[in-house]
Amino acid sequence: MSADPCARGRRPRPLSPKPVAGVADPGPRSLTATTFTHRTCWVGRVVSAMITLLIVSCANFASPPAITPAIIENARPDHASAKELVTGRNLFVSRCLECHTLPSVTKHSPDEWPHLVSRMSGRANLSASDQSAIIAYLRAASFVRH
Amino acid sequence: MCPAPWFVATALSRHAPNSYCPTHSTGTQPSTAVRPAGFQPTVFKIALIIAAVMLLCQTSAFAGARHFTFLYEAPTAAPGSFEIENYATTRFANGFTEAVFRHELEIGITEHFQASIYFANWDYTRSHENRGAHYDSSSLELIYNLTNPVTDPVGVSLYQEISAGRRAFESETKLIAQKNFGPLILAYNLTLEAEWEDKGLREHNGEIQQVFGASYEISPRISVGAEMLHEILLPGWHSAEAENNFFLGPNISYRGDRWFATVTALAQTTRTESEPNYQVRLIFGVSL
Repeated sequence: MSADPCARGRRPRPLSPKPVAGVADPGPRSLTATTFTHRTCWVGRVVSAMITLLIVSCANFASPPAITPAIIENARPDHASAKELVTGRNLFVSRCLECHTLPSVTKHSPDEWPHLVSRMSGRANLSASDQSAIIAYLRAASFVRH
Repeated sequence: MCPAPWFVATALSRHAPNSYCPTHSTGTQPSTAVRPAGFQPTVFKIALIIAAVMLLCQTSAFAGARHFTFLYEAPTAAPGSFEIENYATTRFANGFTEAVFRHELEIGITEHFQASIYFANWDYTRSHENRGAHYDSSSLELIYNLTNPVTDPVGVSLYQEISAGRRAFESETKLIAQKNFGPLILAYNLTLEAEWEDKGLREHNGEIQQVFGASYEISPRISVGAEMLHEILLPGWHSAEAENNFFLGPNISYRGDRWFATVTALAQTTRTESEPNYQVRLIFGVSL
């Protein structure tokens, strides 16, 4: 039988199932101690799950890229300046974060981002200039392959 | 913006009784104060009006979202945004003990600063000596964001809340830390709470609270995670009488186009009889 103290509903077993002549009965195991072990076990499982999620998340984690000459070059067709791209990145990492975690900029194509940003702009209270800055940044950054 | 909650809050404060001594609004101790007869139905009706007004306000609303209910996150509301969040916390100790409600209007002031007004913190209790709905207090909350949880090593915000009732005053100071790893959010809150209550505010109590939480976004709309609450109650600020309580449980959050709902269920992992065995908190939010 498994000795897992996390097993649901399992009662503590006496150390020795049959009394042995000449040996004092140790009595049943402390219920308090067993309950504590049981609860500690569940805390351990939750912490383990969090650590696993952290490792999985880090493997997929890509911070929004900073403004580089390559991104500025990508933004040239949209006539976006470096200053507008910086503003767009700052807004992206602050306003979008109010509702959800940030997706990788390469998760969507440059043609998909304008529609997505427009759809959520009301929720993030974005002005027209805020929207165009975020779209310019995301379109330029999504060209970059990481 | 819907102005009706202001009138309701004003009416509510007029009805606050002289003999009622509320317990702290965010703590976990079931209320044991004795309320005067005739007060509860009035408060209950007013609370229903608040709930109805807030439901009406949803028609023109859409919201940001919270991934946790016992934890605050570091990002603040967008400047110029208005949001209503309704809290409902139900506590169980050998059956239903009480339900505590809060109704908050959250206002984004600047890119890194937000303010909130809690119109009414009230509870519904169902015990032999104390049954019915009761107004506790109203609150003002300020949050200032210092760093971003994505671009900086740790996202940090500072939080201050002041609550005042007819015969109670409470100050809650919080340090909020958060780090995002892709779809995973890790957050930590350290809270110092001071409470003065009773006639002349003679009785004073303290509480140190720390909450840790993790939330994983399994889709753009749904997050699941867990929260762990550790509270150290300091009756009369005497460390010798300090009481340690641990709560642990899962949470789930859903984000609609114009609203969000987050639920956490916590179970007590310690064996403090004066504390609830289980507590469930729902936050339902919409923006104006």
